[in-house]
Amino acid sequence: MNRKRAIILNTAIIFGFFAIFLRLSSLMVVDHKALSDRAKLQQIKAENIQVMRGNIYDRRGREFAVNLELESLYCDSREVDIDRDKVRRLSAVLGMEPKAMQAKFDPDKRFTWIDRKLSPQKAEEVKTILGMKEKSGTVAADGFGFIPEAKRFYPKGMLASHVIGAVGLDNQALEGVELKYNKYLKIAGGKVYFERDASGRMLSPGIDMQARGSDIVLTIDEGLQYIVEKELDKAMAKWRAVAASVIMMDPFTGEILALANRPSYDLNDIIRAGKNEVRDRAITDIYEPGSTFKIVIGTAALEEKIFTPGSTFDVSRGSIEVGRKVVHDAHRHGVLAFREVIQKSSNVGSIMIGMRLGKEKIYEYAKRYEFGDPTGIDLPGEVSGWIRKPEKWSATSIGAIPIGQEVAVTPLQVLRAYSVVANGGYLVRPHVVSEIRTHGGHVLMSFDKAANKRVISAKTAGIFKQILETVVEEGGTATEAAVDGNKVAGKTGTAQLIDRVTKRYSKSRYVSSFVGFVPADNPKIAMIVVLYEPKGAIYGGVVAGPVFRSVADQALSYLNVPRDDVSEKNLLLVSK
Amino acid sequence: MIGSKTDANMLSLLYKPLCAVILLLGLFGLIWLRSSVVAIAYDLRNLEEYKMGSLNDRNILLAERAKLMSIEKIDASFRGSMQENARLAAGENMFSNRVRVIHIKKNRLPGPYRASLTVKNKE
Repeated sequence: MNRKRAIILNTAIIFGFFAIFLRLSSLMVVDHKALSDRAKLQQIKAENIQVMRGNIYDRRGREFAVNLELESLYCDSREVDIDRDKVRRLSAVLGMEPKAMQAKFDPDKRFTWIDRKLSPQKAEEVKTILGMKEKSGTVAADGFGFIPEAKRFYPKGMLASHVIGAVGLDNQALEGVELKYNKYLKIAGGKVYFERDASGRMLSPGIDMQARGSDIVLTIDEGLQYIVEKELDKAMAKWRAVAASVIMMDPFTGEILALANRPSYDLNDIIRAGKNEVRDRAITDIYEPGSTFKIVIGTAALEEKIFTPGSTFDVSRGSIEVGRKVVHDAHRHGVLAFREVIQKSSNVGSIMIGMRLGKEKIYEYAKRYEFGDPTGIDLPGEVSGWIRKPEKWSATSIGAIPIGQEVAVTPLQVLRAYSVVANGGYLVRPHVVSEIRTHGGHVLMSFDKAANKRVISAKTAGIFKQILETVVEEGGTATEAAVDGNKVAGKTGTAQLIDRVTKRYSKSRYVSSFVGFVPADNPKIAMIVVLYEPKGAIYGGVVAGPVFRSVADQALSYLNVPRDDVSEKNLLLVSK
Repeated sequence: MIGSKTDANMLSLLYKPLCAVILLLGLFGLIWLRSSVVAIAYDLRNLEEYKMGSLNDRNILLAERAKLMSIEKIDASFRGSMQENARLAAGENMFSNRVRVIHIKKNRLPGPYRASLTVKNKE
């Protein structure tokens, strides 16, 4: 009996173990992959690495563009359970219409953004309204949730907006340095896989969860940029101009120290900016330069030794006929010396110089200054302007091009041409970025100082500089551009715009400009001021000249440039 | 000879339980180490989250500082805080008045510091 029982018991145990063996085999061999995948889904969680763009700094290390991590609110419409009162309160906090909010709860969509990149205060208010509670690292309640997102923030607002550019809601580059240097600023993201337990607690993956692109150091100086923009706003208000541009550059290196346009926009609110505000007129808009183009015939005539500063021109008739076109001087003059032709901006005298030079030489020198070619500035959208080849000139062109008509230039091209005179004859390459470096401070790239091309001899540059100095002196066209304490060298420009109806030069729409450098003997800054369609006055010396003076006066103070007349004025000198 | 035989027998008797104890201790040690590693990984994760939070706070504060330290704000504050008379004396901007600027020159010759200001060509 006992033996029988023992056999039954043994058999049962054997069958039991066999059943367990079969089940284990089924789980561990047959269903292994499916179960393993299920376990991974439960135990491993993938999270995106937080990707941030590199910062942008000014030349002194002051932040122009940084990143913030903000929370974005989303909903899973199928799970949303919210009453009308909460919808109303939520809409009020987010600044939305309750109807628009309700429309987002579309039951056909599982994922819908409610509002993105909320400020920390707003996010807290939303959490309070929705009754959300922090739960093991994630926030979720009633079908709502938050996802952290990197937001570009521009601490200086509108300052240098046309240089810095902006990014869109998804941090895609749209304009300026943000666009031009996008490949350095952005960085590829990726996913990190975490192990987690049954309660949702996660284990450290052992790697950095944040990645940041390379930082960019600009040649722009925040202080100079502020001075420029402040004075530009004043000028826009005073002259009720349609638009304006100012560029300040180091004439020896081509470093852009400040660049501003009006109208402008707030970098933190690019959604509201129109095309007109976003356009970087300093490099994308062309205009007929008018008298500022006389640098071409002036330096060409001196360089070719056709005239000397003392050569005389009888411009007493006040007009000259070229082809069938009669060109007048703005004011009557008698006999003018070469230097006075430039100083008083005589159109008649300039055309006489141009006719003597001939169209081939004028074109050759215009191309030496690279008019008609882009300057190569490291900003997107630069245009080349244009100047026709001599064989395509009309009979009147020789009477137009020497005085800056029938050519189209950008303000930057004109500024670069005057920098040639300022630096002794070299054409520089304008640029806005001086350095690209890693987050840790390691320099990846710095601006390659290319050999500057000589355009005119140092002697010609010196003579023409002296002539430009007389422009702001008594008898010149830009006495209002003179800076107290330092010599200024520059040239005014007053150009007519084409009337859209008559297709002829307008009698009411002008572009007024002044371009120059200071201190004339040892230039620290070269600058161009261009105002489009000013009201009340038209002459470059009256409209743009005072803007140049105000900006230059403050800029020289900011840069600690001493006055030229320290000895003359018996100013105090402290020695140690 | 007899004594040494007895010692050998004693040791052989101890070997087996000792091995078992060592094995068990090793096993428990391994489990303990493994659980410690997991606990440290949890702690690390908490610290990482704390670090990320702190970094985000730092970024917000840096952005706020950059905004407050902008020259535009400083200029506005300068204008707001100055008395009318002082503002007129300083001119329209916060930068130094260039007529009143005192330039500092360094003597090439070594010597003591001069304590007073020198007015050149005083008439």
